Amino acid sequence: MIEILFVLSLVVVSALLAVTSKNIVYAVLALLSANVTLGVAYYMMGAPTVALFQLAIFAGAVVVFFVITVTLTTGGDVEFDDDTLPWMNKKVQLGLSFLSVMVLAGIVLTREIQFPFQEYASSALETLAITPVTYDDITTAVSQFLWQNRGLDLVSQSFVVLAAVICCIAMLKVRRSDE
Amino acid sequence: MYPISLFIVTTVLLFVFGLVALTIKRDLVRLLIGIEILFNAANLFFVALSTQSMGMIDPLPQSIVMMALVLDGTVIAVGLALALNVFKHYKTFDIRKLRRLKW
Amino acid sequence: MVGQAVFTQGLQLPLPMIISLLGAVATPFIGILSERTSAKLKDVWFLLISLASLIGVYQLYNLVKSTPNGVLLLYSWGQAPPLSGCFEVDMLGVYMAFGIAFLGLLVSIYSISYMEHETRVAEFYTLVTFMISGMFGIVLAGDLFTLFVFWELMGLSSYVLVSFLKQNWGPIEAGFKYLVMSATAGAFLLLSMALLYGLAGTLNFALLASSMRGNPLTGWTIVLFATLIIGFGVKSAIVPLHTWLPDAHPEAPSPISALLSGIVIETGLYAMIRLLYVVFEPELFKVPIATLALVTMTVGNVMALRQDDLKRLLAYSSIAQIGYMLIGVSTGLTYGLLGTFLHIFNHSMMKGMAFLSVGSIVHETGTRDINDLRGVGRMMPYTTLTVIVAFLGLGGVPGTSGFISKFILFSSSIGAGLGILAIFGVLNSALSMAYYLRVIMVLISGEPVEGVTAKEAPVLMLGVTVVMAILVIVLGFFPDPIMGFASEASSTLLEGLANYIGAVL
Repeated sequence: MIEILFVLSLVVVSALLAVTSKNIVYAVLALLSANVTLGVAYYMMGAPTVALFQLAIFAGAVVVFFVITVTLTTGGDVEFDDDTLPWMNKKVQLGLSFLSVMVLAGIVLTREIQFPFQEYASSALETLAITPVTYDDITTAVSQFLWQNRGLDLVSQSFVVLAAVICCIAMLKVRRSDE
Repeated sequence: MYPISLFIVTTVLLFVFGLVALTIKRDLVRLLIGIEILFNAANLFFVALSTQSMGMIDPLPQSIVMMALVLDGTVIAVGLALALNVFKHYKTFDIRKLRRLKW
Repeated sequence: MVGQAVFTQGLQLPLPMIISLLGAVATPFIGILSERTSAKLKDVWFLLISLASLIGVYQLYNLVKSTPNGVLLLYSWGQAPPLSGCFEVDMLGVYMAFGIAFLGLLVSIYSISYMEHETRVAEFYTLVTFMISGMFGIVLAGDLFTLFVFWELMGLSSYVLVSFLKQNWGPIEAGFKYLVMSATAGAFLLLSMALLYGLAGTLNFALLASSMRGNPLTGWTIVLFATLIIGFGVKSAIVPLHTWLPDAHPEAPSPISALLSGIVIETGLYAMIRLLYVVFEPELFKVPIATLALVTMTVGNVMALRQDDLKRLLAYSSIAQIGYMLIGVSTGLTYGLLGTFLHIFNHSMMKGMAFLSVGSIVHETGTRDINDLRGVGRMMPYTTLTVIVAFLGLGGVPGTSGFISKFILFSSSIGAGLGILAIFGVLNSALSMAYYLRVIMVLISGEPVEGVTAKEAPVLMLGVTVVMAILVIVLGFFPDPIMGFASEASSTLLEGLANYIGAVL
């Protein structure tokens, strides 16, 4: 229990730093750390394949896009001053991080938030082949389930990725006749 | 495996941070960071629900989260392409300089 | 789905969706080919795909008519619901698909002539076809995650289509604002999916309808309702989530504005209606949706009065029309839903025609400011005639199809006990006629401003708008074909629910 609490508070603190940092490059680095620790949290919760996708896509490709955009445009040596909150300096950031971790630990350790888990699930589901599996063979079970039951969504998702590629081409294409 | 109240509190905190980043920050890249935090919060809640059934783990939410991760990555990529175009026009990422964007 | 099972177990997918999807994949290659041979090749291909989608919808209609219960369940590779994604096609899905395909065909004819002198035309056609196939996927989906995948497909294409003319700063700004608001709504939609899974254990519509309907209101159900409204409400431009629309619709190229206002926001509204009627009893959401309808109508009409930009005025008018459609949703009666879906089709025709004709005017004169367009109507007589027909239909003047759908909407709200909506609806219609008449007066009378000259629009652009105008007037006097279709469609949500559930279970 204490280890998952530690990892999740790391996620919360990194997200807070990503939102409140003044320098945009530090914000992107904080976002990277939030995604990586969230991947570790997924592994500890019992979802190793989801952790793989999170680390590969969100903590890999998306952060690379962010870094390219930031360094090719404003550059890392330009301090972008966010004067909407002039009092947001290092001490306030640390204070807010500490406060949010305390809120997290406090609410979790003292009171219990009830969630009516599958209260309205119909009995028809019992007769179907959903078999939750134990932690040992979760990887093979999830990949098998994905391909055996969600094939339609997988194929449609590849069309979405193709559409995103065409979108980026349409947005970034420059012909000499445009200038 | 772990009590769900832990994940509910984390999800709410991450949602609050993401929405704060979207409403009061003025750098375009920070808006996209806020959107990414929102997506992470929703995925975390979904995965947390998959671990709840009495010591066993449910494969359906995990499959859905894997596909949702891919889709969210593409949305952010297109958003960054648009942000590059904004930079080409205005030479800055400040949304106060955008003439009609009234948040 | 291992190995040979991909080919032996059979692929069953709805025909219009698969035609437009594969056509969109092939369009970039046709574009490259067309650079070598002749520039008209990609135009012809685009037109062919739109026509083939319409024929596919007709085929789907016959298929659904011939199934015993009126509900067609399609899934591929032997992967049966409720564990897997599926397409559950009932008459409502076919009705919406017909609206999408019809407007798509008309807009594709228009855009061939509109985009003649632009660059990156092959990417434009690809993205429009992807957007239309995404919309087909949304209206025919039977599982919430399948709907989400096609929702993202439609969304991605529309962000870039809004900011397509990237040489100016306006479209880029509007496209970015649209993207940020819509991506946030996507995150809320994922959260609502998680909540639904946690409460019901499934994401299939039929199974959700059988397990979650009729449950009492608890805290978590209210959270679910709120996230659903936010998730779908940004795309369907419900106040206060509408702020992207007055920037995005004017800045987009005119055929895209027509598609966006005409059918994309209505597809968002369809998804919201489907989810609400599947998960909740109509009594639970009558008052919240009625409040939203009231606020949306009023804000849309009041803000439109103050506009000087012609396309921005039409964009605010779209928000007001979504408010009218929400009246029908809040009643919970089949009669109210008939009004909503009839108004969806009529609005796509009238608002589409308005945006296309205004687009012709803007294309010829080069300005969108109403004060600069004085007397232009006399230089472009046929286009102005179609603008007049469109505005009369949008205002609800008897003799046009808009009057019939508005009448059904207001009378159904009286029947459901929400008489205040009818009063406000009539007041808002009268208010909207004020700004429509102002535009008509400016176009017809007055001396033209210095340097603004215009000749009549090209034949393709003019022909499309004239066809739509004739259709609006004919359906105003003889509404029977579309009324029959719409009443079959609207009866599937309440009375046909047993058939819908029975197809899966």
